[in-house]
Amino acid sequence: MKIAVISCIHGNYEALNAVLSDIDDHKVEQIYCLGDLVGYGPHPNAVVEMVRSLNIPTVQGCWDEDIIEGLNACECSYPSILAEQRGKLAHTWTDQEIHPETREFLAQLPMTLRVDNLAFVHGSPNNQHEYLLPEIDAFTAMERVLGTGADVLFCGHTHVPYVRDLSDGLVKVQVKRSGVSETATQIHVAPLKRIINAGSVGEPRHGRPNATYVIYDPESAEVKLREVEYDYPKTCAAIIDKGLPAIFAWRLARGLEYAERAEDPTHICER
Amino acid sequence: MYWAIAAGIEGNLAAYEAFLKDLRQSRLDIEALYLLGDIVGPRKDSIKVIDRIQNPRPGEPEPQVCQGWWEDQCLILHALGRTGEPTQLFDRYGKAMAKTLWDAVPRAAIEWIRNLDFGFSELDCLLIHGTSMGVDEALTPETPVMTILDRLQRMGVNNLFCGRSGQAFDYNLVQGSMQTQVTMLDRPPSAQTVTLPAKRLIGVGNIGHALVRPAMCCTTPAIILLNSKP
Amino acid sequence: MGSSIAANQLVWHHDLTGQVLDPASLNLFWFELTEGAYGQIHRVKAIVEIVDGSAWQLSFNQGEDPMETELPVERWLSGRPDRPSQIEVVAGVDFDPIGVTAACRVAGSPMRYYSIIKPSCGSSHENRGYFLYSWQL
Repeated sequence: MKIAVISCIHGNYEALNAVLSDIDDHKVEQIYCLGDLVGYGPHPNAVVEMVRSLNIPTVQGCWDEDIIEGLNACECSYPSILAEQRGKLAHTWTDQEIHPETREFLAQLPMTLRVDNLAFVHGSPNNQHEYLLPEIDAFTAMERVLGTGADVLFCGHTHVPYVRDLSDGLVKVQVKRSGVSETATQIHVAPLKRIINAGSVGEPRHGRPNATYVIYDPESAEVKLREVEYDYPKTCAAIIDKGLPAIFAWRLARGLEYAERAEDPTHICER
Repeated sequence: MYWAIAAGIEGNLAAYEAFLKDLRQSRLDIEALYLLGDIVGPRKDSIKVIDRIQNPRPGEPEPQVCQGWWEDQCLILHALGRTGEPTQLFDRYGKAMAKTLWDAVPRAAIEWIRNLDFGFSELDCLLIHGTSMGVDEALTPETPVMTILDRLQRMGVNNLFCGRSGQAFDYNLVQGSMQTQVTMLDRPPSAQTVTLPAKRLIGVGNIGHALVRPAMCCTTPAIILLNSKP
Repeated sequence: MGSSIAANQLVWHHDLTGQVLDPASLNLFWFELTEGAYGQIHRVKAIVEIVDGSAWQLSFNQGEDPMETELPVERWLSGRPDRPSQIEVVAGVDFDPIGVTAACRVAGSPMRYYSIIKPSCGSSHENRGYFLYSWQL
């Protein structure tokens, strides 16, 4: 039974449709979605309606959270004043555009999903805003997977898909306690774990405009990183027509890798 | 040169005096004294402890103090905290504790508490009450090793001193390795072996609860003496 | 060293004097500008002030890598710098001056004015100050 995992649709209805067609071609039994249905893109209501009508189990992304709770991310979530100002413009536009039922749907989304030995989150199990980049320290990555209790952690948020296997983890510890003269030695062995980043359907940042998502076979543990062409000029035109910043259209057409992320990807805002 | 690091006076002036006396008697050259929070507590001497910290006697190091869990509860009671309700205080000690703490730590002390640091970062060491994740997070030798590693890595230090657990221990991550392989769209799988530099978590104990004689490489379980060039 | 401006190109310049830019925003803007986010760019010269008090010369020629060089001037550490700061662009007709202006406004403080000089205006780059420093337009 294969599953498809999609993430970061960002109001891009054209991309979502193309990805759903591609999923249809792959005999997938279940689709999961890792959030960020809205933000940046021109069709937030249509995207939410599609995900809802297909009963796709979905976790809440950082954009979904901000839309329902008010923009609460601090400036530390943005790498620059310029990125922050654009993020706020997109937030304001989306906030005015979405229908009450869209907001209600986003509000009831869970932060995490667990199915058998699989966990699904938007950013990381700690926080929707945390970026689990492929180069993040292996021990940090292992901690995030162990925190879910699952063997495979699906995440999004970075907009660049990847698969990361963590194996043969071993840590040796010596502990000396007050009142105990001898030093205790512990050997901790970490089990095989895997992080699968689903990329982004609606705002890819891998260097091409194509939508990305993943197909996973829990029985064989095979992962396919899928890249799907779609009519991105149509989405770009809609971005400009709807009055969203034109730079979003330019970025979308390039699939730019210049990710808008804070300098410290594991930084978690206290707000 | 040494640092003396302690936590958890909890308004126990006698215990703090005993600690300072012990420090004096050690005859060690103490370069800095760090008090990692829980200076105050539900004891009437809390204000006297603050006064004693603010006015070290000649020859005593000037303590550097950061906020602890009890200070956080005081700020919440005075509507200056990061959360509105003292939920943790109620859960652990019951609602009556709010009044006890309110009486023990008068308004006059709140401004001092409010201006305390959250922690200190010096020479590859982080000195903090809980962890960078929160003042209430207690790390102990029983905490999952990956969580301890994560907290060390979040702050980018190899030595973490913390006081929340009240336990005195020296937890050394002496060796670590892991295989990692990343596959991306346009790149062939890249594998590498990651090794872990030695890291250390030190529980600095608690002065206010108990003051017993040494068992470790320090004068009391409540202080750790660290060569300032680790 | 001079070079001509083609008929289908325009020269645009914009005074940034007194503006102090956030380096991260400047990086993002500079990347976007030289990658064509605001239209086709043939050449850019700019001198910008950033928050640590340093002044930088930015230059770009189509087909080459963008260059950023710190200028050998004293750091301006008190108040807004009143030494000349400016950006000048030779661009294609699809150039979006409003987008550039908006990005600069966000990256720093509000701009004092901007103007578009058509090629017919020639090389009237008065108020250059030390823009003369290796200025190539």
